[in-house]
Amino acid sequence: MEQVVTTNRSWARVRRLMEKRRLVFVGGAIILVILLMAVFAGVLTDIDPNKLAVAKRLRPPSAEHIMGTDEFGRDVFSRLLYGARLSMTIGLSVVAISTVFGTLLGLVAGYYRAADNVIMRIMDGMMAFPDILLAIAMMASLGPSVANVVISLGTVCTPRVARVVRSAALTIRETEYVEAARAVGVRPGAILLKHVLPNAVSPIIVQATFTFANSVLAEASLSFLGVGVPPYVPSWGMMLSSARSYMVQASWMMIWPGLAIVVTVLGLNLLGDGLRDMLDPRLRNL
Amino acid sequence: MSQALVEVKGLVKHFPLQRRLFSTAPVAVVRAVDGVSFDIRRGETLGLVGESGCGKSTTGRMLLRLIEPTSGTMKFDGVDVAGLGPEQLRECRRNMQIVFQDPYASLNPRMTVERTVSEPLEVHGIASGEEKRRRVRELLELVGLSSYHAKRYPHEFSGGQRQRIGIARALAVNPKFVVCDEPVSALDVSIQAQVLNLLQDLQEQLGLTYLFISHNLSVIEHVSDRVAVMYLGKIVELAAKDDLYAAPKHPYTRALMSAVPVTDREQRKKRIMLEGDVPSPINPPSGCRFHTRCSMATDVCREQEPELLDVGGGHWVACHLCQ
Repeated sequence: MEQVVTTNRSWARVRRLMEKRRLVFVGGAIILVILLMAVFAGVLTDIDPNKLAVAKRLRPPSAEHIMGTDEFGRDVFSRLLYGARLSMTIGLSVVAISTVFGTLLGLVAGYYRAADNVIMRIMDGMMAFPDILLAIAMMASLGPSVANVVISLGTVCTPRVARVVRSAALTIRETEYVEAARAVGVRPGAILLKHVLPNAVSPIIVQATFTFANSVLAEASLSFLGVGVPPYVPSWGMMLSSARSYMVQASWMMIWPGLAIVVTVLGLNLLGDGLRDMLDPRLRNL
Repeated sequence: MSQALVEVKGLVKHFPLQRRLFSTAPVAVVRAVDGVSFDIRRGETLGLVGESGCGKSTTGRMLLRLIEPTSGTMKFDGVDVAGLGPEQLRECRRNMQIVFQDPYASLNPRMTVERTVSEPLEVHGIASGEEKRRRVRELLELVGLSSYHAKRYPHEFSGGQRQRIGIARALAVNPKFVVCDEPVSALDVSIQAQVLNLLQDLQEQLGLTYLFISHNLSVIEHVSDRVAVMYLGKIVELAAKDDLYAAPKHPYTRALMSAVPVTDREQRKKRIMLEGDVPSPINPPSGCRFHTRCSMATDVCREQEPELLDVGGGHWVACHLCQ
C-alpha cells in the first residue's frame, strides 16, 4: 500500500518536473531519437549506404529514395542514418575525452598555484595552433581512422575546457566556503572534489555541449580535407561537404545532413542548459 | 597549565606585491601585520578592533594558519602552531575554528546544511552514520535552528540563519577556541543582537575562548573581556574592556572612541577629528605609525617606534606620551 503511494508521488514529481522543464525533455527526446536512429539504422532502411548506382545519380526525393540520391546515386536517407552512428560516436567520445582531461588539468592548475604555469603554458602552446591545423597534423601522423579522429579532436578541444575550468577554480578557491573547509581540516584533494568541482559544473556543461557541436563540424572539415575518416564511411560532415558542389542542382543533398547537425546541436544545447539548471540547488525548485 | 590559551609573539605578515617582469627592483611588500603580540586567556573574549585594512582579519586567519605568517610564533595550548606539519595541523584544527563575516559566501551553495555541518565530523572521524545525523541535529538545535532544516540548501535561509549554520559548522569539532571574524557585520541590526547573544550563550555553555574581530566599537564593548586596538598592522593599545572604554590612553583609541555617533550635542563638539587618511601599509611612516595624524606628536614619535608597554593594571599602550 505504502509502495503504491510513493510510486504515485514520484510519478507526480516527474510530471511536475516535465511541465516546468519542458525544454530539457524536448532536448532529451531529440537526442534519444537520433541515438535510436543510429542504433537501428539497419532496421529503418534496407538500402546499403555505400551502394553505388551511377544511373540514378542526383535524383530528387521519391518513394524509393525518400531523401533523394547523391552524386554517386547513393541513398541520402540511408547515409544519414548510418552517418548518425559516426557523428554521435565522434561527438560523444570527443566530449568525454576533452571534458575529463580538461576538467582534471583545469582543476589542478586553478587550485595548485605551482602547477598552474606548467599546465597552462602547455595548454597555451596547444591553443596557439589553429585547431584544424593541429588536428590535421595529428591525423597525418596517426593515419585515417575513426579512433584517430576522436583522439586528435579530443586533444584539440582539451585546452579550451582546461582554460574555462581553471578560471572557475581560481574564483572558487578564494571563496570563504573553501577557506572554511580548510579551517575544518579537509584535505586538498577532497576540497577539489567536494567543493570546487560541484561549483564549477555550470561552465563545464556549457563547454561540453559546445564541444560536441564543434567536433561534429570539425570531423566534417577533416573529412572534407581528406584526412578524416576513410571516404566510404558515411558521415554528416562528409555528406555536407560533397553536397557543396551540387547545391543548386541537388539541394536535398545539402539540406538533410545540414538539418541533422542543426537539430542535434539544438537538442544537446537544450539538454545541457537544462541539466545545468537541474544540478543547481538554487534553481532546482523554481 | 598556563592561564593563556593562545600566545602570540611578534606575528608578521608581509604580502609581496607582484614583481614586474625583468625588473631588478626589490619587490615592495604590504605590511599587513607587522609585529603583533598578545595573549588570549582561557574562557575570555579578546576583542580586536580597528578600521578597514588595519590587519585584524589577517591576524585572525594567521592564528588558524589559513594565511601563513611571514614570521613570529603563536602557541596554542603550549603547542607552536606555526611549526606544525600538515597532518599535525589538521589534528590541531579540531581545537580551533572560525566563523566568517559573510554568511552568503561562507556556505557551499551546492551542499545541504546537513552535509556542511557533518563535514568536520567526517574529516576528523568523530562520528558516522546514525551517530553523525544525531550530532548534526544536536548542533542545529544548539544554534537555534530546527532539525528539519538539515535537508535544505543555504539559499533557502536568511542571513541570520546562515550565520547560525556557520556557527554550527565551527562548533561541530568541539573546539576550544573560535575566531569570530566580523560575524555580525553583514547582518541586519535586528539580527546582530540575536547572533551576539547566541555566541555568548555558547561561550558559557561550552567554555569557549573567542578572538572577536570587529570594526564596531559597541559590538566589541558588548562581547569582550579585553580589547586590543589595531592601527596599520600594529596593536596600539590593549586593556581590559572597562579600562579601555572608561579611559583610553592612546591618541588613536581616543579618536576612535569619539567617532562613535552620539546624540548629545555638547558631547559631539568634543569630537577628535583625525586629519588625512590612513597611510599606506606598503610604506608606513617611520617611528610611531600614528604620528602623521596625531595632534600631540613630537620628534621622538617621528623617529622612534614606541613599544607596547604595560602602564599599570594590565593596560598596555604603544605611545611615547603615555610612558
